[in-house]
Amino acid sequence: MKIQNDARYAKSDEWARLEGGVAVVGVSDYAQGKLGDVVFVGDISVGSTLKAGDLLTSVESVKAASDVYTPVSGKVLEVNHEVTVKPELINSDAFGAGWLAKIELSNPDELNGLMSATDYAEYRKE
Amino acid sequence: MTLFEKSVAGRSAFSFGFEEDCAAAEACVPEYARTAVKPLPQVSELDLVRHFTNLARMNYGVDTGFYPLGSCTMKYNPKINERMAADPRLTVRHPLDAAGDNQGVLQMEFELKESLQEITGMDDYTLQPACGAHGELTGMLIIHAYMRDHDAKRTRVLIPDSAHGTNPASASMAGFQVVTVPSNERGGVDMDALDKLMDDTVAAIMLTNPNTVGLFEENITQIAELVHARGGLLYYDGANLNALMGLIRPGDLGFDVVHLNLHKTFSTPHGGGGPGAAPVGVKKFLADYLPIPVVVCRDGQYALDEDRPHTIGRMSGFYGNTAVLARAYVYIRMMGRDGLLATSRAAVINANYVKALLSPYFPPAYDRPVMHETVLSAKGYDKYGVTLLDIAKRLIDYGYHPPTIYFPHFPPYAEEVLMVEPTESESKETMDAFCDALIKISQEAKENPDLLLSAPHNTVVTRVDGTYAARHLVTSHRDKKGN
Amino acid sequence: MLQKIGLQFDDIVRCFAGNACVEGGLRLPEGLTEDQMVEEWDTMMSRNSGPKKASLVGAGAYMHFIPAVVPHLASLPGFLTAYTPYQPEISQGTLQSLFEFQSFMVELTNMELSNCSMYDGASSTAEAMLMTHRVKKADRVLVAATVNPNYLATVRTYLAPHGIAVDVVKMDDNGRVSTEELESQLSASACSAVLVQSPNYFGIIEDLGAIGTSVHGHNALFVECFTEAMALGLLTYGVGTGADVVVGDGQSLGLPMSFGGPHLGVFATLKKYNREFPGRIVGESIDTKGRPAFVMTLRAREQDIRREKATSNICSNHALNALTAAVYLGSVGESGFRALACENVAKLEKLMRGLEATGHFTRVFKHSAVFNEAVLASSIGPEDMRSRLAGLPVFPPLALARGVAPEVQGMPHTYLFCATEMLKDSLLEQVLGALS
Repeated sequence: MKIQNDARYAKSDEWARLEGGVAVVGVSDYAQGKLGDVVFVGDISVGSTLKAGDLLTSVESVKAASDVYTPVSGKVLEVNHEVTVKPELINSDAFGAGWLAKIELSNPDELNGLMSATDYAEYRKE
Repeated sequence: MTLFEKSVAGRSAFSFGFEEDCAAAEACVPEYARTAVKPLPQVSELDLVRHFTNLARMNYGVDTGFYPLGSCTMKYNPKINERMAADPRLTVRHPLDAAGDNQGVLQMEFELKESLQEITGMDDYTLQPACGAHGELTGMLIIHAYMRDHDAKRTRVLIPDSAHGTNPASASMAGFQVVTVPSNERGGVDMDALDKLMDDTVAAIMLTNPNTVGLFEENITQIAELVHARGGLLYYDGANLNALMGLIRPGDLGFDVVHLNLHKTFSTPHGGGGPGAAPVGVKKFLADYLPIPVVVCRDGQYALDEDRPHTIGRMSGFYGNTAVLARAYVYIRMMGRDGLLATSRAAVINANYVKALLSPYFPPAYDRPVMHETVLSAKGYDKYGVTLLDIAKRLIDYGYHPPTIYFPHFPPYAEEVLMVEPTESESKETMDAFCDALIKISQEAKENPDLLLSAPHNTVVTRVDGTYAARHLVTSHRDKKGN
Repeated sequence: MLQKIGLQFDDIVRCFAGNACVEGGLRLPEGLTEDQMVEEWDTMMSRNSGPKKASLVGAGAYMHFIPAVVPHLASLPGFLTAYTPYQPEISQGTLQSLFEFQSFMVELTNMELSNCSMYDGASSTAEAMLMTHRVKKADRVLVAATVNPNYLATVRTYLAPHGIAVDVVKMDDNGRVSTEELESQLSASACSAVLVQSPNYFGIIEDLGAIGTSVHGHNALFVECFTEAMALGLLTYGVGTGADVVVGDGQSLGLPMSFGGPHLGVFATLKKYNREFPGRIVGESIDTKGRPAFVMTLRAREQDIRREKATSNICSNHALNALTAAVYLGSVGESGFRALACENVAKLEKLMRGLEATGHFTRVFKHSAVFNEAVLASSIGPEDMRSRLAGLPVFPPLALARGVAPEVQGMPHTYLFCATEMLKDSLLEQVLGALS
């Protein structure tokens, strides 16, 4: 299971990483392993305002569908179009090319409430 | 090759004495509405027959071999049913023809209704729903309408974690919010959890009994009392009725709404996924809500009654899958009182027998006698590098359709399970041979796991890539040509 | 076997204790042997009216010619006794035949994607309306008054628990949905979709292209439906007319009427809705050796994976009937299907001219082109109609309730007549003779 050290994690397996004042979010490597081959990523509307825990999108594999919840509150600034065309990026590079959205944080303190990489690794240890 | 790819211009399988002038007819249709000739395949009758005959040979059916799919009740489909269902006096019948000219069909449907009432202990039935999920939706819409009229704040439905996926999907389609009730370590509904969840916002609980792990809900009487006492109703998913006929009736256990699967319990063929039929039974106080029309008998005359003041309306264009109802009618009539009881007894004994043979290799999910199906765990096999899927695929090499796998799934009690339902149709010899094969495979898993990982070997196609299918969506001949 | 189990039957069912068990057996008659069953069935079925060669009523169920090869192939045990194709390696027969059905439906509806069947036209239409609500989210849909009343009723049943308003768009004097009314209803408030049937309940061909343009001008989805699949061979549907969904019933494609079921729900849509549509779909893929192989796909929309968030609760469908339709279309072929559609149009023309010539009938909606059904007003009342036709092997036409169709001076009774290729000239003459 891959872990990214500078990301923070939600119990529902989403990650958020601060990049130039904006949070990049996605699903963890653990999550993609559980899903299997990803075949579809649902639409995310740019400009929508979300609260932490709101439904961001859903990700589908052949045998499962998983709802993805935003780990942070804020406005969606950008969406990764690459991943809608090549959903397999979530499998191969969940923390990198498989990112889902960039969110302008309305409450940066929320990041502290999420798990650290070490804590998440412990939480998902098999 | 698909039929489209076998097309040769100018070939035809059709022999018909046309009497009219085609060109003149075309001119009757205004140009904006007229379409070009559709590019359908042009094949001879022999081509057509060979094409589909060979396709049928690639299928495994109940007529081919043992089909132990848990929860599907793949019992033998008697051929006498087929003869009756194909009777032109039944098939060449227009649904809008006067009831007076259709007394035979209506009598068949009415008597079927009465038999189902007796078998299940319910007061009235609709024969309209086309299959299980449609029946569930019908039943839940009835409950929804009843609650709208009596207690509109009841917008939630309780559903066990072991339930078939159609249950929450149907409840949701009927306008309810779904609340999951956990199962306990004996495989039944967790009574403490139920006690906490059952309040005045709950319209109903949906239960399968025996449940999806093949166990009879021991506390059903207490569950019924609790739910009714707090103003809720009980819905019965009849998928597993094959265990109970002549022994115990859902109506007597307190269920208010029931759906049956004629294509499971009552021997109508599955046809590769339908058509089936799912009559929905209700207690008297809900009869007015049934979809219209309902088959009735007044002074010896059969009719279709639309006078149900609180009807939920129509669920389909007409009255239900008559040709399927006919098959179930014949089955019930030929089985009779004693045959149905013998069916359930044999179904239950067979499942316990298979469980006894396989338990040393695939431990049962629960240490209790089972009803008509048994749920066995394949959890230990991953240490040999094989999954439940691999075991199932290897069974195909032995000439069997695999049992249901990965359902039900509610950790920690049911994970990596296979669900085996032999049905009453099978002989001891068949079950012995099947269990031998599974036992051999459990040995192979340890000694030669590659055999499982690369299975099946002897089939027309080997394992099919589901990811590829979803990522390169080709769902028609037009898609293929376009690529 | 009980020895191996180590329990007696009564021990196994000890769990029933404390619950109400059946005492003294079910109150059902004793079972019958096969010959006894045949006898009893025969007596019962003889209580139906005699054999029919044609039907003068359609209205959602149609009597067509079914070639012998169709039921022969559809009843092969490999198809009949197989389960849902969850194990593709041993279900290629079902999977490929459903893929072929999907292919046929894409061609006939002129859409991009078809599922492998629903139960019937009415429930398929209702599911389509639910889908449009999922996509557009407006709590209102418009349905043309000219849609089959049982279809409209089913739509209402399905939409009722979700608080989605179903508003009916009136028809014009020509028996078609009123384009003015439609515009005004579309402008009144947001709606998710407009549903129009063609040929409509009165057999009249609607101008789907014009309606489609109107609908899209208001950001709603356009759902086209049909009750008579034979019309797909001659009339335009689908992308060319702006359809988002085409639904209907395929009973005319090789299935007997069977007193109303089982029929065949058709559901075809655009690729952009490939996560929203209900029902199973078969895709082509490859096996481990790279050979073409069929498999059910896009399963994550379905109930066993998505549960309460599924696009529909549908599990089993009408697979065997879809297979039957594929066999039928393969047997009538390209030229046969076209010729049959034309024959239907011509037979109705002939019947209408003949009926009008008797002096007892006149066409209502004279200026509207029809396919194989039409409304005629008559001075002959329903009782009289039935008794005149009683001696002939035909199902009588449908007597419409008063007010459904406009009244004609001196001809207070209106009927919905149907004529298919089954109405041979000799029988047609006899019908005209009886109604003269």
